[in-house]
Amino acid sequence: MKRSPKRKRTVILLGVVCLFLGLAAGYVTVSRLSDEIRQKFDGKRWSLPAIVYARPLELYPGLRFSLEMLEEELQLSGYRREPQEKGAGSYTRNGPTIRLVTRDFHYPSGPEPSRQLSITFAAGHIATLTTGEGRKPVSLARLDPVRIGSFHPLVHEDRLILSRAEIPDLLIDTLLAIEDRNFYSHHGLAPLAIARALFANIRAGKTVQGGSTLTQQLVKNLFLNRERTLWRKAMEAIMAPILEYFYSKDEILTAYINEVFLGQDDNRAVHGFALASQFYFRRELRDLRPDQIAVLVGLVKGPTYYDPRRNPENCLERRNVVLESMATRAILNKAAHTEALARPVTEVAVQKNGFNRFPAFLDLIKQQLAGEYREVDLKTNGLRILTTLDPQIQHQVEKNLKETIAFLENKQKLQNLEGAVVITGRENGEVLALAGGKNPLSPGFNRALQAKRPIGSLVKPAVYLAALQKGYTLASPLDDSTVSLNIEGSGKWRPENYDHKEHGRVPLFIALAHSYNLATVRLGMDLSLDNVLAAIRDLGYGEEIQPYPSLLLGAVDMSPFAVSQIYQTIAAGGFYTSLRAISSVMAADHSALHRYALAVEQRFSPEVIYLLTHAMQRVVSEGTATALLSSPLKNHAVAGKTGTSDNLRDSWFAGFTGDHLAVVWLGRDDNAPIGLSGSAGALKVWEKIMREVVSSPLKPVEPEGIAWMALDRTTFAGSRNGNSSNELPFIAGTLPVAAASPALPNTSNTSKPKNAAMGIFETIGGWFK
Amino acid sequence: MNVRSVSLFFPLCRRLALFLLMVVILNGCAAPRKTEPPSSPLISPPPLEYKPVTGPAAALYQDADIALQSGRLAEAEMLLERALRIEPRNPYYWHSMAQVKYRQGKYRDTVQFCLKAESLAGKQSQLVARNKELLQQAKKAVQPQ
Repeated sequence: MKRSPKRKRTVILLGVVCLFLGLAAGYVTVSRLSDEIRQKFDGKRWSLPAIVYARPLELYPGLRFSLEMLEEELQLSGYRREPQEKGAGSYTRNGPTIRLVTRDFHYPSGPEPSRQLSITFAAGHIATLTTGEGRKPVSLARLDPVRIGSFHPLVHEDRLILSRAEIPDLLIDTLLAIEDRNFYSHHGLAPLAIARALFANIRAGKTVQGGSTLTQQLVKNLFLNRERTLWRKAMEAIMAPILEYFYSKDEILTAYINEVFLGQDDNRAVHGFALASQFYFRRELRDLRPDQIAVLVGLVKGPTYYDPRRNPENCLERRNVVLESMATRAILNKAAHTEALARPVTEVAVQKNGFNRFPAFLDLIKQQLAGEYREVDLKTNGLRILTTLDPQIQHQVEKNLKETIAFLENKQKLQNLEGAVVITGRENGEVLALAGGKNPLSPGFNRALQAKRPIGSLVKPAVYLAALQKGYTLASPLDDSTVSLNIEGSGKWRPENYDHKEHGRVPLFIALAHSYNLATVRLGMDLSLDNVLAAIRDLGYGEEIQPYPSLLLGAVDMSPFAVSQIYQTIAAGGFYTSLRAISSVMAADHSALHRYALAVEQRFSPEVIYLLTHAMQRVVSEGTATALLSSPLKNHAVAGKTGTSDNLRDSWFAGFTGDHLAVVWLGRDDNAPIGLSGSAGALKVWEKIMREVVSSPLKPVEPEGIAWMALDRTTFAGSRNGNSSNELPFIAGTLPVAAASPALPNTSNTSKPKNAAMGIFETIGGWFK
Repeated sequence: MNVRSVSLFFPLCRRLALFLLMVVILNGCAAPRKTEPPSSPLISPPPLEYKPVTGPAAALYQDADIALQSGRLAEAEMLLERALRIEPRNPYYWHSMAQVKYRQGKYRDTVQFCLKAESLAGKQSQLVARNKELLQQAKKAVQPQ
């Protein structure tokens, strides 16, 4: 059929329009894709997540530390046990001795090079610490710190980023030999390889061979899902050349080596060869032997199927194929090839590591960094964050919180009991361990930081501190009898004691030790709520508290962390120090960016804190926490306080030894009663944790001008005849009147107290309604 | 055709621009470096006569002392913090922190560290006396501020 010239023109025109439209659409698609690719690829290339480290372990002769604890620390830190310690990050164990080679580490004070150490243990102590072949004694050495996490955009991924120069040639040669022989000559696609794979797949009736170049694999990993669809293949084929167009071969290769998925470690995906090297062999990539390189390169084809631990036979077979290829292409000589073939696939069993094992502590790090750094800085700038976490204590916290909660649930026929723990260094306020729930690995609601609960009697030390500041003594008589207060807007308030009894006239320290509510309410009202609130604020609580009388019994909601801050001031002798979980932040180039320096501020006189601490020791020796007397901690002279909220919904214990302050909370997320008082619940957890933590007994330094005297608890008369265990400390000039000795020095630098014993009874009547 | 598509044809320029941009962004993201304030213009407090050498952190204390005397104050501070982690109640270390703060010109901190040292010094009279001296000097320096 002959077409008319007009019609012919129309067809041509239409064809041209279609072609133009097609080209335009293609151009727009390619442009859009290339923008997207560049955006993502550049983001990936430049992203260096912040790395978070635990505190470095300090070792010295005399340190109370066991061989098992050291080995655990080494395992957590990724050290490998070998027959002979050789190379950084290796150790040997021989009888009571561990020999190890530390890894280089840059501290804010400068680099500390790798050194060989030999540590011998005896009776739970480090007996000798030497260095080098000559076994030269050293007085102190620190291990490079455990890496505990990173702030990567995807929390369940981890990687160690390498630059091109850091990638060993052996890895590159092997990888290219196996995965993409023409990498340096193609433009992202290898048509011949695709055709070959297509042919093989058609012949087999299923996918048996891939023709993807490294570039295509990278595109798949970075931009596409893992489904094997034709559409994905097509996209790969378009995107790979675009990537090649914009980036150099070295950039693509480096990105591939940092990105490729090489295994699964519980809840984290292992990406990149550097991390895989740590995960499978506990070595730096540069230290790998040819057979180990071959295992890793073999894993690219299928990280699960060729997993050296789960499927060692498949892995061995694959590794030998890779080794064969290495030999054929002269990457390995014959001798090296034979030697490599004789090696087992992996000598390193799966070991626990410190990576993201402490999400609750990382929450705190994020919270403390939030004021200084933007989220993007944490995810992309390669910051190195040195923290105060003590993995040994953290381990005890996690283990004992979980076990004791399970025990209590069983005993009380309870479900969903939860808990939180914060442990800090007594003097410096460094956060050593933190648990936000009984399951340490489940991120989410962090009860240590976020659960604000009534603190019950934990508030009482603040009330008694205010009293001591106002001139009360530990012997001041308090009236523990029924009290009823008119509360504006809510009628009468009639608090009761825990045992529903009245105890009459009791010395102040007894009222605290036994946590008497009536005596405390009367005392607090006598002091005025403002004075109590001032004490709570000075102890370190920054948020607003409504001045209701019920606050005297702890009707104020605080997180366990906030409680720790308050008790820290008491534990540290009246010096406030902001609780710190970070010691410093360093840039990727190891320069120090920000130091969180130690700072202290005296908020209370050492004398009143000394008296309060003594009263808190009485809580343990004769009050609500006597359960500790049947514990190995009975000689630690612990000072503490139990706390219980209304209807037994919250169970608290806060207490300190010579070295540590620990705060424990137990309760339910739905705020239902748990049937546990502070001593029946939280104290049990506290005891289980602290008996495992190496800590010295509490021996507060006695300030100048403290005098001791026994007290007759009925007549309140002082007596010189008491034995040391029932003597009480007094600030000079405030000894009980009946026995005051004229010979006692009346130092002028202590505050002149009013006669508290009289004052209280004069004013207390006013509060009766 | 948008500007970004045009630049598809100038990959080199784009790459250079991108690189420069990244450099600028990365520099912008990095937190500012903290510089040490100038040393105190006042007369330095007298050095400690006591040199305790028995505790596990004694070596750190001695290094800190050397750093302090040579004016490497940030280093001295870090060494002392490390020493205090090992021996948290050693009043000499707290006193030395006060010395560091004094030389840094941070007199309020000096006062606080002196008070802390005092609270732990007990009856170690020589230390108590030195500490008191530094405390008075720091208090005097705080006054006019």
